[in-house]
Amino acid sequence: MEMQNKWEFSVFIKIIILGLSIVGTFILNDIEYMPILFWGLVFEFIVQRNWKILKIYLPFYIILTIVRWLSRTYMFPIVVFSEFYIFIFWWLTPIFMAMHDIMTTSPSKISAFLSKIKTPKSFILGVLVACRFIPTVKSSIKGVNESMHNRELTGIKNIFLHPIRSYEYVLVPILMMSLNSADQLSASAVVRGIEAPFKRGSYYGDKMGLKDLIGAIVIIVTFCYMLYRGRVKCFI
Amino acid sequence: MFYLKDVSFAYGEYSCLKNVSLKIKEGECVAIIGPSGNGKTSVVRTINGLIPNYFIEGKFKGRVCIGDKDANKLPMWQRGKFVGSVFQDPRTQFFSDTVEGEIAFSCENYGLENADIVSYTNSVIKDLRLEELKGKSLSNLSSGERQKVAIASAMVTKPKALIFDEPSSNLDNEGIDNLKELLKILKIKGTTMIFAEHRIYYLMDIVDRFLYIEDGKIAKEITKEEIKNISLFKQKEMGIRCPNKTTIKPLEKLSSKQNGKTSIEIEDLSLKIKGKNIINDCSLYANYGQIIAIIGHNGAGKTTLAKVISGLYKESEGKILIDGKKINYKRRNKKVWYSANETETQFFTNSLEKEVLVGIEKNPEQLDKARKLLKLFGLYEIRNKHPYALSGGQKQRLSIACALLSDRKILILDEPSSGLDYKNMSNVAEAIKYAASFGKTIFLITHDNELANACCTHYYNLSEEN
Repeated sequence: MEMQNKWEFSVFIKIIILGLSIVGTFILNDIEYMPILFWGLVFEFIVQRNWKILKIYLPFYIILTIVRWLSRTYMFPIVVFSEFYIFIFWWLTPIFMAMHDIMTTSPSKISAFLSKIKTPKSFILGVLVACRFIPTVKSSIKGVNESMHNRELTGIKNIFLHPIRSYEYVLVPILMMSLNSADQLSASAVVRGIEAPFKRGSYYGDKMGLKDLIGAIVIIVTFCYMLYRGRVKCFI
Repeated sequence: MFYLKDVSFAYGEYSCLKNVSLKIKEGECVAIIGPSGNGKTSVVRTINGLIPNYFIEGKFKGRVCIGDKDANKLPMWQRGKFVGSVFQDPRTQFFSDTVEGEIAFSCENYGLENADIVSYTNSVIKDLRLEELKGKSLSNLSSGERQKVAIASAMVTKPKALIFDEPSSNLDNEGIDNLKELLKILKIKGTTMIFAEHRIYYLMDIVDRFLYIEDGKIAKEITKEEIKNISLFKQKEMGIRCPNKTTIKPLEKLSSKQNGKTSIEIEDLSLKIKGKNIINDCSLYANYGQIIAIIGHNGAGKTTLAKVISGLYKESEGKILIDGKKINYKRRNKKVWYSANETETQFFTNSLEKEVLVGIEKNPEQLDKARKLLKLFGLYEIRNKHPYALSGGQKQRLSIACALLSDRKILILDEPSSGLDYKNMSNVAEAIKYAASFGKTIFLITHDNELANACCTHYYNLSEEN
């Protein structure tokens, strides 16, 4: 069973990584220096022991780099995708990685961070409910899809001949389940003191440690080095 | 500790509670029993304050006191400090994704300092002996473990009383045994506990008295001794489940080929998902007209096996023959009906009559057949109702009616009796037997030994065979 990762960066550092990745990607003049940011992020995920993200993005980025290099050097023809898409994915991969890291952060840690920066309680709750809703809707869609398969409603013929009816078949159960879930979640929150008029506390506290210091230094050094080599775009 | 005086609650014309009065002493354990839809959940919601503070659209009358305080004058967050609540399905009450984060949720809401939250959380984890769950992700826990976390999260602010709304409905027998052990610890600690439950056998050592509720009124108080000695006739009449732990009756074990016309043959079936073996070398043979209980502990792979048979998953190894023929997994749904445990995702139209005709040719003959089926299953009078407005038992019967009209030869029903009282469970058992009388092979995935004993002819234990 999955244990909590003690090497994971605090939410604050993750936000800095995402922020610098976005800024760096868009202000870098010579985009051939983008791999500096990518490898900097790879190092960050190694520090965090986040092998899942590395497994997804490392092969993806290497393949894109090879395809891009082949197409540019040897005019290797790309039949299925245009070179533009290859470039866009290659260019934005660091942002996807940093975003993925935040999206997969535990809602408890996000709420701890929001409490720490004195975010209003209603906003924190909204974030918590939204985090809970993604898996709920995902499982509802899976359940509806299985039921439609059972009723032989997933055939291409059915979907093309009766698109509105097919859409209704998916939408109605999902809406019903979402409403039901929202109702039960709200009832659970109400009996557990959600309306208490106090500043929300936190179990995790989102404490920073040596790993976070390493994370911050690595991303700042990477960011500065990339801009030093590739220069900043002149927007004027 | 709790005092309800002439409490009534109604949604429009429909009265859920009618002049309910009751007293519960500190440290007492009480179970509210009775048929579905008669007001059990409404009583516990009145105690924890969801009625009338959350379900505001109903009409509430009467007085609720906690100690000497008028409970309805207390804001809900203050009431939450007196009463902790555990709901039927823990997944629907979780906000966090980690065990500690979820247990700490109430403390966080009450604005405690980080050190206090950690101390309260660790203390409840220690008290309820949940140390082995620390650091785990909630999505990786079994149903029983999730229920324990739900109880711990209700206990963390040290409320004087705990309320349980059908806590056993999603648990297997082992999960219920574990829940019972946990409840024993709470009883020893002197916690006041109030249960709304169908299954009562596991509460026999916990509860001090039973309150039987009928038509929104507390009809009688029953002692433990009276419940223990209740006759089967009386039990059926009152619509309550068996007060003793039911073991599965000596059914014929199913695995090897038998005499008679074989409908399905499964040989050396294996399934791997993301490199993990979910089903290993499973073999079974079933004949037409048989009702087979697929049993096994939570996580044994019962639902996955059903999904492989019905073609939702492709087997990694082995073969499945239906009527002696191998059928591509994508087309198995033409022969096999799979009714999931979650009824919410199964219905697509706005009336029962339309629902049974989904996916089949609509002609006068089929319509006539559909109406006959609805009559047989006691659903004809409400044929224009929306499927989502049905009770749990009615939804299950509708699902079986849909299966029968679809003309599939093999029906798989996943936990059709979860959360059902005795009467509804019996009705579902009768509907299943009726379906089998048409020569269908029926697989019943269940933890409910009472249901298995009421209708099954054979059993297959996946925990042993897998």
